[in-house]
Amino acid sequence: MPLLEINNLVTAFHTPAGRVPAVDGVSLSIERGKTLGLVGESGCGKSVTAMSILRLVASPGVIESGEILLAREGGSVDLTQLPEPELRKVRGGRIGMIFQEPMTSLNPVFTIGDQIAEAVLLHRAVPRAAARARALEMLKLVRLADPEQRLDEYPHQLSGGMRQRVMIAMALACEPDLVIADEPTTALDVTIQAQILELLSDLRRRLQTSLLLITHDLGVVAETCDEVAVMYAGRIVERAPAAELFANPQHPYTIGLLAARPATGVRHEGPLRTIPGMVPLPQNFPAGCRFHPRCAYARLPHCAGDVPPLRDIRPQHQARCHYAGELGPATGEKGDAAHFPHFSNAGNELRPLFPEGGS
Amino acid sequence: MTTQPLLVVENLQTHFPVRRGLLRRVSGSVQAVDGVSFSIAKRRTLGLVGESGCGKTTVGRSILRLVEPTGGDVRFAGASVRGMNARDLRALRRRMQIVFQDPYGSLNPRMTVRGILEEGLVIHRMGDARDRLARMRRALDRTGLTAATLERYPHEFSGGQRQRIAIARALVLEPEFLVLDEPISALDVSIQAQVVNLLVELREELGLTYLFISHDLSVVEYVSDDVAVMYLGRLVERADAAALYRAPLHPYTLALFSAVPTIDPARRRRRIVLTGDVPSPSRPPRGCRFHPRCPLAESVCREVDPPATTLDGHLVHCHVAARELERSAGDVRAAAASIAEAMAAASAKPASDAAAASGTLKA
Amino acid sequence: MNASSPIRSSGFWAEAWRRFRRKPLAMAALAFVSLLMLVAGLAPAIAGTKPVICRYKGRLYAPCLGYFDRRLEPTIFAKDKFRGTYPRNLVEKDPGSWAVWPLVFQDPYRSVRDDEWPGRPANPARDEGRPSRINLFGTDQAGVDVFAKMVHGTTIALLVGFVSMGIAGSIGIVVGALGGYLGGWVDMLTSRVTEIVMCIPTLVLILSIMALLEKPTIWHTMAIIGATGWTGIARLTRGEFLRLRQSEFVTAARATGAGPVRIMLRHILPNALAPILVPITFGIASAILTESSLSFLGFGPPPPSASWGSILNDARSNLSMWWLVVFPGVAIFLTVLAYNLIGEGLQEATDPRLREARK
Repeated sequence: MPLLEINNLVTAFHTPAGRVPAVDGVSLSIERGKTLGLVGESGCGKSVTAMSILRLVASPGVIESGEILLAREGGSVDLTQLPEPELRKVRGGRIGMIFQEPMTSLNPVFTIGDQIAEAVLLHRAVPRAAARARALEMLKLVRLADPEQRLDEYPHQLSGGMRQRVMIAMALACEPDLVIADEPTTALDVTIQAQILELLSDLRRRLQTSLLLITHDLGVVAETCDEVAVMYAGRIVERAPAAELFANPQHPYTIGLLAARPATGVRHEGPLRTIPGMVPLPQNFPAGCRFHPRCAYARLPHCAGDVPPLRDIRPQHQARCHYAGELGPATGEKGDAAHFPHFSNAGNELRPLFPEGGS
Repeated sequence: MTTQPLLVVENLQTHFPVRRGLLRRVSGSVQAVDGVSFSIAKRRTLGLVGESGCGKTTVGRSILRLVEPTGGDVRFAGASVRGMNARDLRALRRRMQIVFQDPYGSLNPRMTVRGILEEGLVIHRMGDARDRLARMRRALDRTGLTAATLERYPHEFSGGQRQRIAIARALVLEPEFLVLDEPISALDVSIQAQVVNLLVELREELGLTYLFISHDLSVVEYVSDDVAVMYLGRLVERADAAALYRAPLHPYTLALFSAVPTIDPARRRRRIVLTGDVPSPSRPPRGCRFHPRCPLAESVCREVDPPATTLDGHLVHCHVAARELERSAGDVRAAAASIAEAMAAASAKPASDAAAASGTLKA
Repeated sequence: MNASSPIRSSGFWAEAWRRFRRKPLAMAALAFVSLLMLVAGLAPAIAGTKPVICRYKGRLYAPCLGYFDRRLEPTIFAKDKFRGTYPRNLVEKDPGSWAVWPLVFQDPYRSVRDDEWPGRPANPARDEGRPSRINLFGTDQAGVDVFAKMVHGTTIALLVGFVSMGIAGSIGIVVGALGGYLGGWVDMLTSRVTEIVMCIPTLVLILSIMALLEKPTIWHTMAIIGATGWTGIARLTRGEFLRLRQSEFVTAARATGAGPVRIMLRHILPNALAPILVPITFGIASAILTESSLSFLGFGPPPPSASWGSILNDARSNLSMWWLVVFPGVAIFLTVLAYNLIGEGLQEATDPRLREARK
C-alpha cells in the first residue's frame, strides 16, 4: 500500500472571470522511501497539486473533489476530509515541505536555531533544550558548516544554498514520512544545486523518507527520481519509472520536451526541435486532449473532441494519448514561426494566473 | 580568425563602490568584473557562462556602458567605447543592442508595443512615420509576430511572446551586435527552443554578432562558436565551444559541467560536488579566486594569481592546468583527462560524515 | 481567436477605471464630487437675485455672470440705477422686459429685503432665521440666506482642493523625481529641503502670513497650503523613481539611447503616477479641511466671498443657531469623505497587491 495516494483531485480557482480548473483530475501515488518527480511547465498545476495535499491552496482556490489518502497504522486517512486541528499535526509532522525561495520562507526576525526548534516543539512534547539540541543535530545532518555557530545566526547571514539546507533541516526535523519539495533548487546555481540534490537523495536513503519533488527540470528528475509524472494543463499526461520514461517517452508532449533540449557534448546541425505555440493558461484550456493544438501527431477531429484516458502503454507506463504506442513519425509538420498562434488567448484576462516559475 | 574582430574587450574592470556610514564614505568595492579580456569576430557568437554573481551580466552591461567600467577598455569596430562622449554613445547604442532576461520587467507596462518599438527609431531619427511603421512591421515579422501586435500592451502576451517583442525592439534599430543577457532562462522549457531557434535564424539572416550570456550550458554550447567561463569576476577559461566541452581544463569548468543534471544516463559525467559557497566579490580570495573550493588547490594557488596559458586558442587561468599541459607536451585532451581524473579522485573522498541523526528523538 | 480579434486592447488606466467602476462607494463619491462641480458651475443659476437671462430695452443680458466676476455684469444696469435689485427695476424701467430667474431667489452676499420679490417678506435675521420654505437652510446673523451662501461657497471648496494640490503635486513630483532619479548630491539636497518643509506647521504659517498681508485672499491660503503640502508627495515620488530607475525597462530604454528627460517623462512617470495620485486625492480632502478650519477661526476669505468654514464661524457667536453648524458641517464632512473614498478606490484600482488581497 502506497504512503500517499491521490485520486482524481480537482482544485479550481474561483475568480471574477469564472472557474479556473488548475488541477483537473490528478491521480498519483508515492511508495514508502521512494521519490516521485512531478514535472511540468508554468501553470500546469504541479504546485497547486502539492499545495492541495496539505490543503494550503490560497483563496480563491478550492479543492472541489477527489481524495488524498495518507497511510497510517491500520488503514489510511483522507486529508481532504481531515478536520483542521488534525491536519495541522500532519503539516510539518508527517509531511514536511520545502519551498522554492529559501529567502522568503524563513522568518527574518528569528534565528535559525529558534526556527528549527519551533518546528520541533509544534509537534513534539519535548523541553526547549531538547528541541534546540535537535536543531543542532539537524544542522549537522544537512552538513551545514559550523553548525553550532549557525544556530544563533539569522537567515540573512546565510547564502542561498545554506538557507535551503536550513529549510531541509526544518522539513526533516520531525522525521516526516513524506517531504514535498517544490522547485527546491530552481533559485540556486548549478554547483549549489548539485550539492542540495545530493544531500536530498542521501538523506532520503538514510532516513527512508518519501520525496515528492516538483520541478520543471527534466535533468533533475532524471538524476534523482524513481518515478515520474508529467503534468500538462492540469492533468497527468504520462507516468512511469524514471529510466523507462526517459528511454521510451510515449506522450507527444514528453517526446517534444525531451527533443527540445540540446544535449551537451554533441554538435547539433540545424534548428532545435520545438513544440509550437504557447503553454495554455488554466482559464482557457483546450477541449479534448489539451495538448492537441500543439501536437505534431494530433489527428482531428478525434483529438480535439475526446479526452484521452490515462492508459497503460507499456508495463508500469501510462500515457494520456489516443495514439500513444502507435505514434510513428509526426503527421503534419508544424513549423515553429508559421504556427505561432499570436492571440490564441485573446481577451482581457491574458495575464497568467500563475506567473512563470511560481507555479 | 583572420577577420577583424568587431568587439574587443581588454582587461575590463567594473568595480562598484560600497558606501557605509552617515557620510556614505567609500569603504570598499565589489569587484564585479576584474580584468576580463576577449574579442568577438563579426558574425560569431561568444557564449559567456558562469554562476550568479560571477559578473557575466556586468560584462554585458559594461560593454554598452549601461554601467560604467572602472578600468580597461571596450573597442567596438575600432572605436573606444569608454572614451565616447554622450553623442557618440547614443549613436553606438543603435549599433549595439541588448535583450534582457526578464521579459516581464524589460517592457514598459504603460506603453503599447508600437510605443516600445518606435522609441528607438524616434530617438535615432530613423525614417518618417510611414517608414518607421514599415520598419516595425518588418522587425515583428522577423520575430514571428503579426502587425496586430502593435496596438497591444505587454501584459497581454505570454513570456515567450514578450521575449519576441524584446528581440524585435532590439532588431528594429538594425544593430550589428547584440548582447543577449540570459534571453531564455525566464521562459518555459517548451518555449525556450522556439526562442533559441529564432535567435540562431536571425543571426544567419542578418549577419549579427552575439554575446550570449547564460548559465544554461547546453544551450550555450548549441548557440556559440566560442565559450568563455567566468568565476568571481574573472575569466577562468575560454575556447572554441566544441573543444571546451570536449576537454575542459579548468577545475571549475569541469565541476560546472559535471553539476548539470542530464537526462541521458550514458552522457552523465562523474559528479564533482564542490564544497562551500562562492565567496563575496567584495572580498575575493588572494591568489586564484577559485582556490578555496578547488579540490586540486596547491600552495601556489593560494598565493599567486594564475596567468593565462594559451594553447591552440584554448585559454585557461590555472596553475595545475598549465603544469599538466606542459607535462602532456601540448596534448590538450590528455591534460584534460588527467585533470578530470584528479578531480574525481579528490571529490570521491568521503564527505566528513555528520552524525546519523535519525531516530534520536522520541515523541 | 486570431489577429483580427475584436477585443479592444486596454491600457493600464482603462483597466483601472474598469476596476474602479466596480466599487459602489467610490463611484458614489465620484458622483458626489461631480455634483459639486455642477453646483459650483451653475451656482448663479441655482441661487441668486440676478436674472440668469433677461431682455431689457430690446437686448438680451445675463446679469447672473456678475456672481463670477463683477466686471461681467452688464454696465447698463448700473447706469440705470438698479442698485442690485432686479425684479422691480426691470418691470418699472422697461415694461416689455422679461427674465429667467435662478431656482432660489436668495443672495449669498446680502439679506433679501422686504418685497424685493413681489409679495415676499424680508429675510429674518439672528436666531429668527431657522430653516423655512423660503430660506431652505435658514439665514445667518445678518439675515443672509445660508443655502445661497453654501451654493456659492462650493466653488471655493473645490478650488481649494484642486489649486492647492495642483501646486503641491507639481512641486512634489518635480522635487521627488529629480532626487530619486539623479541621486547623489541632488537627492541629498532635495531630501533635506523636504524634511525642513515637513517641519513647518502649515496652520501657523498661514496665520502669520495672513496677518502680514494687507489684503489676504483665498488664493493666498491655497498657495500656502500648496507650498507646504508637497512633502509627502515628494517622498513617495522619490521612492517610486528610485525603484523604477532600477527596473529593466528603464535600462532597456537607456540601451536604446534615451536620455534622462525622456526616461523620466516617458518611462518612469507614467508608471509612478498611479501611486502618486492617491496621496494627492487624500491631500485634496485635507486641504478642504485646513481651509474650513481657517475660516472657522476667522481667517477665511474676507467678505463678501463666503466659504463653508466661514458659515461655521458665524455660529460661534450664537450656538442656538444650529443650522449654521449642521448644513455646512455636513457639506464639509461629505466632501472630505468623498475625496477619501475616491482616493481609496483609486488605490485599490491601481495597486495590484491590494487587488489580490481582496480577491
